[in-house]
Amino acid sequence: MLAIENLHASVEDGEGTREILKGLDLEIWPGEVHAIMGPNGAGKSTLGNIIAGKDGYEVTEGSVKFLEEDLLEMEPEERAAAGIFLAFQYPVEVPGVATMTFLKTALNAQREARGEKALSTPEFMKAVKGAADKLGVKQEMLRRPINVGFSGGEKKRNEIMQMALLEPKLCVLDETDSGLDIDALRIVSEGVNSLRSPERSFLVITHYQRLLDYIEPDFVHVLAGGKIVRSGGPELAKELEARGYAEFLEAA
Amino acid sequence: MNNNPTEAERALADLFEARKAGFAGTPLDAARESAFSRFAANGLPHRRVEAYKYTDLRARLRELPGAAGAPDAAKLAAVLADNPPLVEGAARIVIANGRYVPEHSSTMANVTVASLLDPAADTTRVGKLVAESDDPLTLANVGLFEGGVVINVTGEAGAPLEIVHVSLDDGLVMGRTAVIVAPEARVSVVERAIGTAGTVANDLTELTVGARAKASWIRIEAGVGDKTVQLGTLHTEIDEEGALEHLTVSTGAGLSRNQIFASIVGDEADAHFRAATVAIGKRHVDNTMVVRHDALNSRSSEVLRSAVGHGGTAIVQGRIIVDPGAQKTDARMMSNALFLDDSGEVVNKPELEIFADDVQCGHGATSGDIDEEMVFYLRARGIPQATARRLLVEAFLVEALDRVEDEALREGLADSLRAALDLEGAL
Ligand SMILES: Nc1ncnc2c1ncn2[C@@H]1O[C@H](COP(=O)(O)OP(=O)(O)OP(=O)(O)O)[C@@H](O)[C@H]1O
Ligand SMILES: [Mg+2]
Repeated sequence: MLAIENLHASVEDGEGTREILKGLDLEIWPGEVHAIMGPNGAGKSTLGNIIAGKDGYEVTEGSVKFLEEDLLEMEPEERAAAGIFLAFQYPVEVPGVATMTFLKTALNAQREARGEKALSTPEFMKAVKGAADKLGVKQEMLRRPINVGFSGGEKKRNEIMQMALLEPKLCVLDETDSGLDIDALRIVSEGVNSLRSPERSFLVITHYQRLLDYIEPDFVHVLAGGKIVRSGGPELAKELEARGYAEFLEAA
Repeated sequence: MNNNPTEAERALADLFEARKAGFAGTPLDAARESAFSRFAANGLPHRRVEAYKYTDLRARLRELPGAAGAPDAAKLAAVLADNPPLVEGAARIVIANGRYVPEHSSTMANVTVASLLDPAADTTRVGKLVAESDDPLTLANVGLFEGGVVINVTGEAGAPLEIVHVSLDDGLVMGRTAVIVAPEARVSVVERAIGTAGTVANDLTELTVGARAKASWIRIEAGVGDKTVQLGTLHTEIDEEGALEHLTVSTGAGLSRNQIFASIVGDEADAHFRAATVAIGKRHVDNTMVVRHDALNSRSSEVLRSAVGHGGTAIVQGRIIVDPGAQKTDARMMSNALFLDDSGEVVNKPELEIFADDVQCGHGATSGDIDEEMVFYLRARGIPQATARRLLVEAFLVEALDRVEDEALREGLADSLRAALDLEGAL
């Protein structure tokens, strides 16, 4: 599904060019759930942003392939239509654009890009209602502009609701658990789990074992110093929870 | 005396002589003569006149088209049929080539309409709000108007009004309107300027909002091209506990200046002004507002949204004056501009003149590009870049319509803003 090889990426900040990813390798097959953990500033969101196609990162070396296509050559909207979904760590507020208008425009733009027929209004309403009910997103929230005035937790729920509606092939969740209360964490995790299927893959970025109790990963990776420095099974997350990142920071 | 008149100024002087020869002996005639001589003393305002620094009319209007004649009936009928009322069931008052056309106008409960040129019309209150004005566009209209109406609203208007200014012949047009909303009365007005590409219009409106009366007023100028000139001036006075909701939508005239001179003269009154402007390509849109508070506990707000690109210009001048003793005034102004590319220009000129101490007044201005974080968010969900930018610009403009209560009207206005964004493939 996703194959990242020797990825080097840098950003321009005030002082010059800074390399954030320094030779990252990652391979995800259909149906797999991968978790990425790592210290603050390690480059986890950078990886998610590069997968989604955000501007401002320069890939200096390596490749990212999605379903055999060169992902780096595609526009963000083409990636979305091809099946990439990034649930943002910090979803932005978009004043003035009603959530419903946004969802309908997004869904039908993806369908059009894939050569599918646009959904009629009743079909669309039914699909949104299904996704919103699953994630406990109230109708009243759908009438508001995108994320405007939403609490931190509501924004995260809204992200997963969009994911449920758009039915992507690869879901990248960037710290979706942060800001969620205990009940919301369960609801969101159930929402994610209900989307798990042999064809759909997940890349779950998190700092906490707790999320992984709900969404059980097949693989856990440690990202530190711009690379995957260790990979293992679910037990690795527990080990990190107990011991922290000290040994990896020294190594990196 | 302006001793070096331009060709346009000479034409206006000749036009006044022609008008004067036709004065029908109405009570308004005396004021016309004095207004025109005051106008002629300085001529068209230019950039050394502070209020016109950014919209130099002497330079921009070197030549003027000839004054429009009486409207052709068939042409007028066709234009009106092409432009049905924006609000269903609205009663129309048609002013074509500056002249009131009763055949196309309707009557309704609690509203009386009379021609300003009818010697029998009661025009005692017409001209009150402009008597002290030294604004050149106001003076020019008072001197030169070819016709218009006085509208008295005496209770709850039986229908929404649509005042339609139609210009049919690429001419110079100066329609005049006075609306008097009696105490406790209610009215909502849509004022439309529909013109041909070569029209030069200079409309004048006086609006009196009586005690505890409520008026909403929406002015829409959907100019048709970069040669069209739409100048419009509103003088309004709001009495005790009266309320005015005003909105200006400008989308397409090459040169547009919308002036509002508002005086809050009664305690506890409200006046709220919104403006949505699209200035793309060879378009210059000027919104100039002067809001004066001369009463206790009154509120005013101005929110102006402008989208500019492809060399378009938006000028926003807002002055708030709080007279001595106008305590507990709450007056706020905000101008937000959005650049569609790096070739547009926006000038913000806010002024506060506050002579009372217990007041809350403020102004702010922002200008910026389309937010790329927002664009990316939409693209990451599959929305193509052009559509994403488009949605964001529309959203920005449409926020200026948030006080329009009639949903169908709000959608209609939003549509005209959307259409304006299509100009020159701006997005
Ligand atoms: N657009 C940018 N401009 C400048 N610096 C950036 C940019 N994006 C990321 N960085 C820097 O790159 C580094 C990695 O950031 P990133 O957001 O990927 O970290 P992270 O692993 O997601 O951290 P956290 O756990 O705190 O979310 C940080 O030092 C950050 O400041
Ligand atoms: Mg991060």
